[in-house]
Amino acid sequence: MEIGTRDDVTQLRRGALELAVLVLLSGGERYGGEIVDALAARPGLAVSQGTLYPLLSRLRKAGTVETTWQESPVGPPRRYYRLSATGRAELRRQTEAWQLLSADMHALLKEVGS
Amino acid sequence: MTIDEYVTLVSAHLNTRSARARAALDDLRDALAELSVDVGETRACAEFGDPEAYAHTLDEERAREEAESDADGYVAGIPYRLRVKKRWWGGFFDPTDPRIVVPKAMGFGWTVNLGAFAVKLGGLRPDDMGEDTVTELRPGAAVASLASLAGLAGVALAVALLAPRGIPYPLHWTGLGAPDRWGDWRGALLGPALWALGGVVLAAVPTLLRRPVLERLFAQAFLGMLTAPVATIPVMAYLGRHGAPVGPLVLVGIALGLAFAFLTLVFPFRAAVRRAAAKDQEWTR
Repeated sequence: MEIGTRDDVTQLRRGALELAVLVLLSGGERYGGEIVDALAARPGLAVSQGTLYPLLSRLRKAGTVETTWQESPVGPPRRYYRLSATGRAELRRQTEAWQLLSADMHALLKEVGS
Repeated sequence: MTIDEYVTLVSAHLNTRSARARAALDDLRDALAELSVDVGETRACAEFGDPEAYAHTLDEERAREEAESDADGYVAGIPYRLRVKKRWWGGFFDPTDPRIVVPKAMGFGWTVNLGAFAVKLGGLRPDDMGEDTVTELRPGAAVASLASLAGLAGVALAVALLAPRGIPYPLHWTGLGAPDRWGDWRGALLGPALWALGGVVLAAVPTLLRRPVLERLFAQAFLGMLTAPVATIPVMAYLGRHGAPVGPLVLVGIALGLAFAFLTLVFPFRAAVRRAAAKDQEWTR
């Protein structure tokens, strides 16, 4: 059986992407291209622009992230994203959930000897 | 409360009766039945919470799935979508989607995503369209685009009206490029010119109805993309009659339509981004 196929990673990443973006933004504000590049540096989290920007738009509408415009050295101003107070609370909540899930899954895999 | 009563209440509060909603209700009934084996029907229903809130959650989930899905289905590999998205221009201009060819927001087949072109050509960034930039769009941009489309249609009409009568003109060509059907020169030019004028009138409707600038721009871009190539037909015919090759001119007409739609949307949004950025900087001072 093939293990860790691209589809498997895509399915797992779908649930983790929002948390990954929140974690990246907890380190300071970033523009969309920077977030794409930072995720691309980790193959398991790499996503296309077509996946990331709708997510950022949803987070913005939900008030999880705030945006500001800053001048860019190349071209027109860029939209920068940063965590709002709601976003920081959401980050804590999702981090706890992820750690619980990750620990339980790790223990389960160990238990059955995978 | 019984399971039947609970499911009926949830169903009554749903905003849709689609097959997907019915499947969700069946799943709910199964889940309640399974839980009720241990705790009884009343307790099982209580654990699922307020039926209205549950219906609301189902509606939200369905709306999210619909927004994320490109099509309602596929026939012979061709996508179709029967219900229009909240934003009908979603497929035609979506900078967040890097695909150049995307399924239509409503109808059968695909359309060109000019938003992806705008990003690839550096005209816009994927996240330039947002509530903050939309509020910075100015009506003047829509007026300018409508005026340029009207100007193009005006040129087409002028060429048609100034054309002499009674001169035979090829209406159709064989695959090898030889004319095989002829009509009157002036009549042949008036048809596309009037079509272009009709396009301008339709494009003006959102402005006359005082719709938001965003809707005006998208309507003009979309209708302009279809109208501009037609408006160039009389000009092409005039040039063709004077020896210019018609084939490349047709491509020029199609390119003109795409360029019109592209510029109608990209320039106003670039200006809106600059205004939003300037406002942001004023706030931070």
